[in-house]
Amino acid sequence: VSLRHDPEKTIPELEAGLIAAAADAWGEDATDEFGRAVPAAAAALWRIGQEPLGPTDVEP
Amino acid sequence: MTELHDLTVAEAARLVRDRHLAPIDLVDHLLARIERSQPTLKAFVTVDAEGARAAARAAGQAVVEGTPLGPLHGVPFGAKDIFDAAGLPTGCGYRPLASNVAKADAHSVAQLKAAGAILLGKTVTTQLASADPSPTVNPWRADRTPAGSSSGSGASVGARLVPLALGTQTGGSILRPAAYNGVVGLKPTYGRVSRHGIMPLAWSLDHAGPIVRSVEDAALVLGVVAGHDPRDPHSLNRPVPHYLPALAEPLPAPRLGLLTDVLEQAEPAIQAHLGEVAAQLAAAGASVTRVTLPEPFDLYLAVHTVTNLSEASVVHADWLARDRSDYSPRIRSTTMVGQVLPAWAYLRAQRLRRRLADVTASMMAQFDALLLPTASILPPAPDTTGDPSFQAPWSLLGLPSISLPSGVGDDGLPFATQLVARHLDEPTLFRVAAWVERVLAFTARPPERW
Repeated sequence: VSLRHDPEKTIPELEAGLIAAAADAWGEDATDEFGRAVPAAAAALWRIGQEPLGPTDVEP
Repeated sequence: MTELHDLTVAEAARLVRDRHLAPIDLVDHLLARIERSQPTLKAFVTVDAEGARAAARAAGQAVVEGTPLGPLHGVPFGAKDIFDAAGLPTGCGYRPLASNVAKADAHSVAQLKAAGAILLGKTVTTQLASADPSPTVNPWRADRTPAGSSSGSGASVGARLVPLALGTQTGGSILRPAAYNGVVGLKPTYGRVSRHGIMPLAWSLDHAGPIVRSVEDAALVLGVVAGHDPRDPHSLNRPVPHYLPALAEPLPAPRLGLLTDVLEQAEPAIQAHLGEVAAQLAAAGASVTRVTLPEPFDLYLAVHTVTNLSEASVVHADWLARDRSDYSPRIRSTTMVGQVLPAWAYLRAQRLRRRLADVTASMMAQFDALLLPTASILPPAPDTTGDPSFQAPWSLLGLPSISLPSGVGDDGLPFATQLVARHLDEPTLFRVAAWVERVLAFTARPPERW
């Protein structure tokens, strides 16, 4: 459930990664507080991960 | 004769300048209207009646004495409660800031005052300009949201409590409140208006701009608040054009790009309405070309989401670490999750953002403006502020956009049409918007209750 970049990861896998990272950061008992933002964040992470970007492509 | 509360910014300024209207009469009239509306509309969080009356008397005296007058002399306005105004609290809808009295004006508040405008008070914001609904009510229908985060600014202009209110937009918080309250909202080019003295939400997405009731007013006010301010590190050091003369220049048939891939995401009533608007504009002489975004619509939204979550989580990191109990549910969850997003995600989003900006600019070169609905859905129930997806791409790319009221549905709710122009091309945006405004000739207003 790591959050390292991997375009093969699915949205549920990214959700699980975010929940694990957030629980580690804020505590297991804070799931109700951060949980509602997880689906949109996971979907956005997945979507930007689908776009190929090589080393010489556009800079930030 | 036009009622005092129906006067636009430009009309009020003209009447004051020509000595047909005393600023104190206009201020007293609007203060009384605010007081009557407050129990039900809840658009203001702080009303500075004493300060406004003192400023109005001084403004009247200046007229009598023949002092040179600013372009907004005697015009009342409200400011979203994340803008600092000297001597008034900047509460941001966040309990720990309830007694946070500002020592100085935000840049845009100071600019308006220097132009002669009179601050009546602070308008309600959603908490810290986030997506948690505020208590403000939609003046068109009390069972629908006035949108957010500039809830009070949108509702106060829609309900004719002020002709002008300042708002901010990180996703869609100027244009959507303008749309849902049946008025005009302008989000200028990123950096065109200083953010100094405004509570940030996400630095690279935050914009300040006016909510008003005409395109002329949007141009007039932008001319006052735009300009370089070294206290804002992203403030553009570029000359400010004279926006009002651009409105008077004859416009040949505007070239509009109708964004069909975005339009397809709207609810049926919105799709049907925009189709009617496009047909009306084409019949009046516009060239309306069906076009799609150069990259998938959902990519713009994903890049915006990652940027917004990442930056907002850092803006609020220290306060969140100290005590998060006063944060409302939506901003609390987004800032908590934002803190665990990896660095690669934010940087990848910024790489994609630059790519989106480049290809979108190329696509827009063939048009005077893009045409799309302001919002994907009509104002929903007040447990949400609505959907920012149709406004957020332009916040992400920093492009100027404007929302115009364009009709009223059978359910009594206003429709709105959005125009988007090229970077720093507000003059063309205003010319197109003024043309569209004339063609659509929107005159509806919410039921008169106050």
